[in-house]
Amino acid sequence: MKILNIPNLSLIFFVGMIHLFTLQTAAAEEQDGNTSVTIIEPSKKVSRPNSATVDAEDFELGLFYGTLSVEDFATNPVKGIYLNYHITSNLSAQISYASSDVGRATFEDVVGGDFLSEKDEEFSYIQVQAGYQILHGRSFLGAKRRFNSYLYVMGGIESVQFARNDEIGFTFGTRYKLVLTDSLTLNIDLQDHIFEREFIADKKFTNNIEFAIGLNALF
Amino acid sequence: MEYWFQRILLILKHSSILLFCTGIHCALAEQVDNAPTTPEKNINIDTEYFDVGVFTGILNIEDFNSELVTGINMTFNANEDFFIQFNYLEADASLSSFELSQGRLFAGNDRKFTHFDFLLGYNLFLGEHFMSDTNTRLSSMYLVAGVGDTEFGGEESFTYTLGLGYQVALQRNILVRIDFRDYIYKTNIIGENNSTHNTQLSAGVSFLF
Amino acid sequence: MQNSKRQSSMTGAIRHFCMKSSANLYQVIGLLVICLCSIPTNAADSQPAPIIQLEVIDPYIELHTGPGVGYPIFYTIEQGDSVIVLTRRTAWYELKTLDGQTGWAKASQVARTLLPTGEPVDLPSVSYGDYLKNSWRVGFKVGEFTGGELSGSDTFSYSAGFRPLSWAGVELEFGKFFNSDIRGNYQSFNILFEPYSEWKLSPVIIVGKGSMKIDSQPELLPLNIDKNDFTTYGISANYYIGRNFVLHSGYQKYTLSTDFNDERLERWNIGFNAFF
Repeated sequence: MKILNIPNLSLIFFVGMIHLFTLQTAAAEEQDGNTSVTIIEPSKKVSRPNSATVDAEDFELGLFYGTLSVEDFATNPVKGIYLNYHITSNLSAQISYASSDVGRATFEDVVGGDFLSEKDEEFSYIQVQAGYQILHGRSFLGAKRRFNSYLYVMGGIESVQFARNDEIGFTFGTRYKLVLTDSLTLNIDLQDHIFEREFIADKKFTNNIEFAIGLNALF
Repeated sequence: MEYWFQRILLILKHSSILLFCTGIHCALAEQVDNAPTTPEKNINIDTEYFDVGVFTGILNIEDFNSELVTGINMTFNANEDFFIQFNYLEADASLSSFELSQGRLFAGNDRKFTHFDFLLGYNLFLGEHFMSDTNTRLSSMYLVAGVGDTEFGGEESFTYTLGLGYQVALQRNILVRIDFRDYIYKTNIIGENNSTHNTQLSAGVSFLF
Repeated sequence: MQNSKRQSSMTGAIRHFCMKSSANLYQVIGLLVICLCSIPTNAADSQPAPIIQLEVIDPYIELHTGPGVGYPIFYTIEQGDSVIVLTRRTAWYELKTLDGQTGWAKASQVARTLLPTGEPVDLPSVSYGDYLKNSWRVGFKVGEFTGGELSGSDTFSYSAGFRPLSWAGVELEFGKFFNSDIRGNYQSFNILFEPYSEWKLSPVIIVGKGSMKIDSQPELLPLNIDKNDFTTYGISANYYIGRNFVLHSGYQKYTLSTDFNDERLERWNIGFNAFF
């Protein structure tokens, strides 16, 4: 996005000053040719932390892993993949696919029967989501590490397959994004999957909370 | 031991949260009444240690429905890295799909999911963020872990809580939080000694004072 | 004086609340509202907030943009300048210079400057105990009963207390314990002695008296304990993380006086206390 941001400008300024300083001292040394004066230069190592930002990269491709709680069932790990496109600095669009092996509900164990076949016990979704950036800034880990970070509000629609249902649902949630390096970002996502599900003759809107951590490559 | 002593302790037992408030009240009274040892000044520096708030969200009760949850919390910021938080929340469990077909497992007050816990929080990332203007807002991303008590289905269980959350100070005194929590406890409602994970996604507002 | 009048009306409200049998959500909210309302009143009652202007005695003070070591330093106040102290957040102070720069400084960096205020200051010469003299403490513990009839029960407790001396304090503790078919609670009044409170890791001796009640008994073999008083003594280690926060771990022995004989219990626990 921006090369001429403040950390960069300051870095250029300091490098320029060092150059001028060394040039001047070199010139001074030349003039005083007879008296060999050694001017001790302070080692000005200006380590200006230049936080990684999302510059010109538009796409992010990543993998995520987390937990998904399915209504009337239990909480299980979920894993998926997503592709994110930055439309503007504030708006992004994402397409993702994930699945979670839900397994039997406890009552199925108690009753002793299988209400669902094994294939139906998998909760999978294909989702298209939009993200709107509401906060941007920096996050500090301890005293030394600085990362650019953003908070997004996410919302989208998805196609969910679970328990013999193939329904369209919608999601809403938040994302906390940390820019780790120039080509790597970390996302911490919290979202709620809402879809209408029919299971043992009960049709209702279900809420399924997901928490996931994802690692993306920027390109 | 004397009966009067027992009675006093029993009365105080139900007002445990009260001690937090009384502490704040008395601490402020102390600052005014107890002059520090140096005779020339009686200084009160304004402190910002506590915040009290409310939150609401969705709770996924394992093997049951997802329900609207509401709660309150109180946080004491011990230092820049750690804080101690007390949470109390309630949700009403409606009939699950299984119960609709097989009959309800329990009724009345047992259908209320109540939980309170004491958590230790660690501010993993402290930050400063901007909305659209140039005002900096202090924020932090934190992890929490702790223990507590859950009452549901006629049972009272020792509960572990794990969670993660994010807070932003919208104004100096007003904090907005988004939290994810996982309440882990063993239950015998359905099946034997089942370890359940009940996750919650919530948003809340707190007032810092 | 006016302050004590307000305090007694507060205690009246507290007593009224205590008489009710259980605290449900609305009562708890109501209680918090009472607390919140009483605080501004109390503050307004005292003198109008004075402007605390001090001369900087420390060698220099670095102002950060927020109360944390990660926040960047944007200004440095030199010795001899004047600062106004605005707010305190445990280990950080918000300062304002006379030309309007406002930022946060670590308590250790402004320690000498704050000496005239009478506040406990974060100097290496001030021990943990002296810093926490006259402070309130809140905390919680989690543990397990390892000996006696309740062996194997998980327990947690929360406490609030006061530390009037650098080496001694009192607290009220409320706990609950859980086992497969046993539920109960206990409360105790403890006195804590910490003779070496200048150490970062220091031992604490706890003695107390309280009572314990079992809410649900195991069906086949009921316990000897039902509703009994106890005395407790124990030892624990306090590890100070910063000036206001303690991680502690310890061992506690309980002697319950039951109808037949004395019942003995042992508990191991780990917990956290925050001071203010």
